[in-house]
Amino acid sequence: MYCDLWGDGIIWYLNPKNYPRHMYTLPKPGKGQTAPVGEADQGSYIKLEAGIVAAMEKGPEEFQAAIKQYRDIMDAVQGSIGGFMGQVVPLREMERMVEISNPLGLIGCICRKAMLALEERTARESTCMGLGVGMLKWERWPERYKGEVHWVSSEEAKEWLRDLDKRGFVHSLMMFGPRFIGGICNCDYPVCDALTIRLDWGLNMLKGHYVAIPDYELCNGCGICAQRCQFGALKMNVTLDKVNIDQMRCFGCGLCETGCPRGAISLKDRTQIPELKEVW
Amino acid sequence: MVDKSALKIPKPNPVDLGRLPVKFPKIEIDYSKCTVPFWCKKCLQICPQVVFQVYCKQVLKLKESDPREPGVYELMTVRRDKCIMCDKCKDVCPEGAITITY
Repeated sequence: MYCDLWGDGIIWYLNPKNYPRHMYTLPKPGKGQTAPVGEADQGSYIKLEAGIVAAMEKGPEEFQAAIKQYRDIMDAVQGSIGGFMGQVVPLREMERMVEISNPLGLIGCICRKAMLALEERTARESTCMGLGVGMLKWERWPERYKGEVHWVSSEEAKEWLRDLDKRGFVHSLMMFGPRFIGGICNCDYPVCDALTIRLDWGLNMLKGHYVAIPDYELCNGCGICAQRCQFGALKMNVTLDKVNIDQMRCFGCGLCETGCPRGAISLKDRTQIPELKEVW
Repeated sequence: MVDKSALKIPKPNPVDLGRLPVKFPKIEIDYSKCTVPFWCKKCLQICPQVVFQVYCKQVLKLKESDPREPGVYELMTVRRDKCIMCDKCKDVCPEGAITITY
């Protein structure tokens, strides 16, 4: 969806124009407008989410209003459209993203900090990456980064990404400010907040640019891919003893592709498939 | 430059609106007892549905908060819609600060 607006003919997150711009436009916590996702202001973001749950108890109109409010605040603060500030990206394109952006800093994940009170102080534990010059001012907010940022080269970043991919995390990008790609998340349901509210309420994260298509000639029904799918899109067809992928639910994260020992799953461009090109 | 208003914004909404309103369990936290949630983190990590979240009440510039200092972090019940009332958090809480009612 963002490709039409910011892609200049290619996939928008591979367009180098989306990395250096608009760095200092984010509102700071406690300054100016009330930002729900400022640099470290997790509290107001959590309250917004609790507000949606409270609205579900009141009725459908209240729920729709709370969803709309969430989208509007995201658009105002992050410059997103429809509240979508993140997108799922497969491993191979993540590797191209870390070549484009600089500097790269491994940091602790804010969702795991909020949901499980994990601090992720070492580079080994870190599951989040900050991209671009915005990371250079991290020391202003040590509470967000828990006092540690581990700077890495693009080769080290690729190794880190592959390791997380092996463990089964869904890679996604995060936008901070209009068309500025500022972070790489590695998510799983229900610990990642963005992925959780996307799957539960349809908020926050766009599907990836691809969908997974299985090759039944190569598939031997080992079921490794089924363990890796976070979206409930991939099940085993017990009758045929082959994999079955629901492309309407597929987010195109590519975990099944990278996990398949026989190379039976490939990623196809979503925009080339008529029924799926509007399904984000 | 593409006109933003002309873009087709996807509106995925998996929530069954016909079911709303629905009643969820009420989880009350006694904040006079629960003072160091980020340090304790027992309820956060035992909950099978990840209902709770913790946040720093006041994020200060150039200062990292001490999780052992009482009242710096606050525990919140966020996803009450997912709570299955297994009472694990109630049992694990060393201060007995959590009560769940329906």
